[in-house]
Amino acid sequence: MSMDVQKRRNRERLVYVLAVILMIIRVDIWWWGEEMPLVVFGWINVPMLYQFGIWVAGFALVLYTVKYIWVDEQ
Amino acid sequence: MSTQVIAVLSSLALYMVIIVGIGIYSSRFSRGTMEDYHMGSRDFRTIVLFSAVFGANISAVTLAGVPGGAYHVGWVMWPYFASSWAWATPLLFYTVGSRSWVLGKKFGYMTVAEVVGGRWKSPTLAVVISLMLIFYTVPYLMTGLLGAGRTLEALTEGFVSLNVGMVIVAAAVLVYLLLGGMRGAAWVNTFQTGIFIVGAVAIFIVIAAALGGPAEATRRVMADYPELISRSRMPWQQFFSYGVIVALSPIVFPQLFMRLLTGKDPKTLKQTMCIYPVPAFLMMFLMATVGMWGRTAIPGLEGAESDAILPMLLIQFTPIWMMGLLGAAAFAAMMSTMDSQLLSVTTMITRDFLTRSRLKDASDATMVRISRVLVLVLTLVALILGFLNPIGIIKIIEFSLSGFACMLAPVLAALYWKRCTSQAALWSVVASQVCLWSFEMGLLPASWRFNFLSGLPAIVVGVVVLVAVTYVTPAPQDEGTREYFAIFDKTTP
Repeated sequence: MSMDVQKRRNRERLVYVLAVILMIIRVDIWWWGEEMPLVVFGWINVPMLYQFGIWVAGFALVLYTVKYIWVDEQ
Repeated sequence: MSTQVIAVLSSLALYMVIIVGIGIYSSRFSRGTMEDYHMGSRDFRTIVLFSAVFGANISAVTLAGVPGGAYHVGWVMWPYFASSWAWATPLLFYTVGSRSWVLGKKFGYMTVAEVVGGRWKSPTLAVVISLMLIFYTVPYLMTGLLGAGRTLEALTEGFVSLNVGMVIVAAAVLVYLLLGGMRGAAWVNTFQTGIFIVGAVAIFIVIAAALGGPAEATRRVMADYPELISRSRMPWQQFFSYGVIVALSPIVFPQLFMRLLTGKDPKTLKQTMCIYPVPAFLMMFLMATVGMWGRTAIPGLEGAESDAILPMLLIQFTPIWMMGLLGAAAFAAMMSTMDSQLLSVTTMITRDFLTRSRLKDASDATMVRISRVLVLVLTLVALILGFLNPIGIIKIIEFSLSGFACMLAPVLAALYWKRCTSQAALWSVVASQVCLWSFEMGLLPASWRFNFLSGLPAIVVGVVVLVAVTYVTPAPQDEGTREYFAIFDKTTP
């Protein structure tokens, strides 16, 4: 196995591990059921921002995969 | 007939004329082959591919189910989808899509069953998988008709009944699908995707302005229905399990899987993957927020009645001319999924069943004619199911999605696991489906799933059985397996 393939395989594993972690921590049980104040623009609270952050992190994984893992020689 | 009804029907008529026109125009490019009718000759570029894939995934769930659900449980409906599905599904475009696309190019595969069955050269496995996918696609297909019918009924204040609305929408989809096949559907989807993304943004802005701005609308919800802000109406276990299900299932949707294979080259797939998360997040955020605001504006809706909250808000808060336009956005989202589902089920029946029967030697022209008849029959089946006007859209979707998500393990095993055997894949499908159905029918006590949706333990059972049976059956040693995996050497690590 070439160094390049091994490197991409390691990156691929990292992406999947991070994806699983994101799927788990998106459940913010520490805030669940709490009435949080609407702190941003008067209509967005911290749990909403947290969920948005999860989406941003997930999107970053998608972009990373396209740029560093998926090659298309064929 | 009121001015409102005339405006809505006129806008809808204009919209229908445009999509049927696109369908007719696309038929000029038809090559009359199975490959062309079902896969658009696999030459779609990025914008068409993205629209076809995204349109296949944005459905009545987004324009009716999500606002309807947010009406009862609050803003949590947008991360219910957006913080998992919106990025995890595109990630699976790489995991499943990249390898399946290569197989599609090399062997002419069109369906999930062909990819999985082809891996082990097992017709039995292919047939079982195809049957399960058809079984779960049909109720999902019906939700599109139901959502469109309810929207039209609400926008016309009952002038067009639910059943008549469903017939009108089904007829329009039939026209461009019968004429243009995959190419017609994909071109129409490109127009529809533009319409529903722009329409969703417009709906949000108009409703927000009418309710005194986002801050005022949300403050009212906070004051009158604080549980919609605190998320106490949805158990976190449901949020977690649905996140897993909704992330894992779309890649196995026959309509989405097939469309991934229509890309011209890997570059178009990659670009689609990069674009997808942004509108996916946007649509869910906008529609759930509007649905939640609807609780204070139009209180008192019970159960599935809230699926029509969007058209109700449009009637109450938008000018008449705009109502029709925004109603068209809702139809665009629902119809784009319906057409892809109809075509994908037709493709599965022709490819996974008819080509294995006495019709295997039939000409392409004959098979295309048969495909068109199947599209017609399936539309009638969906209509009949829709006439029964069953439970809320989200409930139907949750069940269908769970069924699809259970199919991912054998698909991944087929694409990545050399040691895995066909028996393991088959038993994984059977065990996970038995588990899912046992929970849904009450044969297994609900306490055994610890508040998680039935789909989650079913997925776990499927994976456990897959691994266990793999190691108690002899490893595949044939040359075919080695050749199969050698195909991917240059594309994925």
